[in-house]
Amino acid sequence: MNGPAAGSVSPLLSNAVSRISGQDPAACKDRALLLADDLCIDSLALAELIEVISAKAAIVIPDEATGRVRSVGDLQDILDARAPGTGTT
Amino acid sequence: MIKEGTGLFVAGRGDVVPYTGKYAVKTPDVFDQVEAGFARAGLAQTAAAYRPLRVEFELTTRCNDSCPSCGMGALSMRDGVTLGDADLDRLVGEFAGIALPSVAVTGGEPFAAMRALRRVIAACRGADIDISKLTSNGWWGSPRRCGPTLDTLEEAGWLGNRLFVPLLMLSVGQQSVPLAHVARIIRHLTHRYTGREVNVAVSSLADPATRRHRVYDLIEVYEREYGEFPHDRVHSTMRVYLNNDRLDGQRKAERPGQTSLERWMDRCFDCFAPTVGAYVLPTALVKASGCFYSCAAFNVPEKLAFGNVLAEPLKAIVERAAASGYVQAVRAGGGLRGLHGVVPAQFTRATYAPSFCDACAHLIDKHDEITGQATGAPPAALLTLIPVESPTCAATQ
Repeated sequence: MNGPAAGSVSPLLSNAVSRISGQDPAACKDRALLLADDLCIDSLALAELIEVISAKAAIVIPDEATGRVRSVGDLQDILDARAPGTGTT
Repeated sequence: MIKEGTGLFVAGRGDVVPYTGKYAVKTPDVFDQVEAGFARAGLAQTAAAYRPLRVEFELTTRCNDSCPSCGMGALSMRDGVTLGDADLDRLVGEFAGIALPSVAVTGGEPFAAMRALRRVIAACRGADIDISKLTSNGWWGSPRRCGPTLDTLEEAGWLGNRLFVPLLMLSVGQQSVPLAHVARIIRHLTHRYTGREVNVAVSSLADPATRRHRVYDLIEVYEREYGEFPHDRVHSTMRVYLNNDRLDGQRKAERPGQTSLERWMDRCFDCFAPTVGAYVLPTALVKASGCFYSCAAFNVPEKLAFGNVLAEPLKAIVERAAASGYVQAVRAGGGLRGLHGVVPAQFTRATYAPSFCDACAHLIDKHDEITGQATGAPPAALLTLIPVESPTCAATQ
């Protein structure tokens, strides 16, 4: 998975990140945001986030893909690869 | 790899599909067969009765590796103990006495106690108890040992399970065992056995400093040596270890945020069941000391110790656990969320914990304070819970 890049992410993802992190959706759009360091998403929250995204996008995210996730952009890359229709903005 | 949580089956919640999931069953009527066994053993059936479907059994506390953050509290080969023949036979007899469906053998490193491992497999086979899971760091995966070790397991009866597909869980956390050994075991297992004969899983713990899971290194090592990694045969066990929330001594920055008891409670079953297998819930842990716990999670709270199987009948201990108000609440609620109606939300929202087990310990204390009950073994039984290194435990290897 590539490192975080500039840009924003899909509404599906930013809303999911917002829901789990408790942050405003507008503050969850930046691909470069680090889940742990910037959004205080711990392993339990990450598990919840993956479940929410999987359900919303109707995809299965393998554990080894989850294990590499560090940033919001990493999650968008997973969505782009597995659910192209979710639309990066 | 096959995602953890695939193929979860719980009694009374839909059909069972054999040969699916990490903890696969062999027959769709598995729960009926288990229930019939409990009935023969005289264990009462109620909607939320606590009767373990599997015991996670600590065969030895000895380990031939030295991971900095061992979740199992393993000791060195010199300082640890392995259960002796008499104790092993007694324990298996007690397991049979409650019609225990399955045992998972853990440690320490069970394969560093090979004679005891062979004995417990053979004894369980003779008592009609399935060996549901063997856990190992893979040290025996050298070219010389790998095949013969699997031969030994077969000869002991490892493949003779009645209800459950045997699982070999290889741990690649902080072990110093060469990943080539682990890769070789995976190669042997996936080419020697079908998925209906043996399941394979890799338990990966992330490095606390980098948060990198070693499973990626393992896959690289495997693919350099053997070609494409058998993702369709190997089950992953990564989920609850992400970011190492359970490691002691981690810097705060590596364990972001604090998590309320309420959140741990709501996720207990969903995170734990895929790891241990929903069919085995409720589960149990029997340590090498003989202490019986009503949960098999790492770092299980001491108050969930309900007796010592080397000191009193297991049936009495299970009945004691089943009579516990705390255990009943957990059973009825499907995990720690069952405490929502007992422990005030004001407490669970304002109290924080770094792990499921720490949350559980807080909840037991609060539960006991509110109800006036005392979760765990009574004082008389507690006397037997002091780990004693008996001569039979001291040197069996």
